Amino acid sequence: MFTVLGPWSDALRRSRLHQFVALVLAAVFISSCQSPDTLATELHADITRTMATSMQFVWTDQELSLTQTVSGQYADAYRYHLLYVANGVPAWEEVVKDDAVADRILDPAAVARYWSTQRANVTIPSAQLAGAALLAHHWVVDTTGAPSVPTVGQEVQEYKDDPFDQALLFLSDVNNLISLAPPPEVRQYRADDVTPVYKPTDDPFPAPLKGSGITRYDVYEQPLPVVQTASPGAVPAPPTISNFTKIAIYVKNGMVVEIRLTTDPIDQLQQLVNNYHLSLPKNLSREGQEAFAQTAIQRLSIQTGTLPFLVRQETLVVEPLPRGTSIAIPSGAVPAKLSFLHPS
Amino acid sequence: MPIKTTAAVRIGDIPASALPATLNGLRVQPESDKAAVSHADGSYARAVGFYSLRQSQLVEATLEVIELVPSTPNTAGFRLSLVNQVTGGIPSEVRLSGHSVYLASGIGSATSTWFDGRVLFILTTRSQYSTPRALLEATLGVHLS
Repeated sequence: MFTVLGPWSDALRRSRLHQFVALVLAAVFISSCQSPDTLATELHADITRTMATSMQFVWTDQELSLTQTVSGQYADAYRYHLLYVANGVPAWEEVVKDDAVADRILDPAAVARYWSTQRANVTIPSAQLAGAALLAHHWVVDTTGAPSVPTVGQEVQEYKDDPFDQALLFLSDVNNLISLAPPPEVRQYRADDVTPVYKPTDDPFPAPLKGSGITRYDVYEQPLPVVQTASPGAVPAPPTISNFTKIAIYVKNGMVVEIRLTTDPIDQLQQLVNNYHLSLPKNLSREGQEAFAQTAIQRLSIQTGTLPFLVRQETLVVEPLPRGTSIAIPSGAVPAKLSFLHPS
Repeated sequence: MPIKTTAAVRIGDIPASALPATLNGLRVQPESDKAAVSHADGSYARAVGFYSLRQSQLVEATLEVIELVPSTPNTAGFRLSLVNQVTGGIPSEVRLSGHSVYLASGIGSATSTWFDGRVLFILTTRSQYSTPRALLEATLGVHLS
């Protein structure tokens, strides 16, 4: 259209161009000044509010060789009914109601594998009544043995004694990961954002459905550590999980409805290789590269004492608990002490 | 943040009839804390009740009920600082029966603290008591009108 206009239009075009540039700059400025601190504070409040709500949820953790889920109904910290499934096989079910806890172990091998990954010093005493009943897949109830309310401090991804704690503390872990993110911690997702948290090519998360009323918030990744000295051959401090974790939090009406988290160094593999002088084998598949990175990071951070670094995808889907839902200890459970399952 | 108390006010008693005779099977027995209360120079408390919860003669728990004066700040921050003074640290918070309950463990005991309107409840239970959660649940059902 500009080309059909004469010299006067050139001035107009420049004027419009200036207006356009000014508008773009203003838009970028306004979006970058959208009270990021307030946004992070609001998101922390949304997560805290969700943690205090009765809900049913499914937490899924997909690692290179294991997929595990915890699903169930959570009325409050003293009343819940959860099921642990490992690689598609139901493995462990637990009901807590006030002072009572009931457990049923359906796949002892899967449960033992979980404990070994968490360095949990737990075994099922087959010689005792409770152990024998559990190994025979019976419900066992301990009327005064309810596990203590799981709590988490500022640490992230610490060892957990059982998968139920891991699922119940996932929201707390995410809250802590947000706090570890570089300022401004979070940014509201927009499909046409000119400065998104995750570049479209590296964004593993779906956009919220249009008209769903769901807002997505993305958490900034902590940049990889850099060398602090000029000494030849110096390497940076070991990376941590927050260097490779992408998080998207989906919120509706002030409540978290879904969280997607990926821990995967694939986007930063070359930088990892360069910074730590690693030798990356050629022609690796994506899975091979992920396994290489997982092993390399575990070796780099072996002295930190935290959980081994795992390439994983975690998802939490939350819904309100239907009205009238009742949490009940299964009838016919074998009464026995279960303190070996729930060391305090 | 230290809590700034109000000018001296007369602190009344919460009558024993305000509470049920038993809670989770434990007998509710009023205890006198006149001496402690009389030494308070200034307080946000308008009335106080102190009770032991007994199985036979054994004290399994104690319950302190404090009605706050209307001028008490009604903010989350103030309430949390009050709870921190009660528990002596940063307690964990859980949502139970519509209340934010602050849980703290001590040596040989556990303390649960919550607000019901302008009334502060402090329930301290012996660690050996077998059904502390059921007791807490029963006590959460107590409302002072």
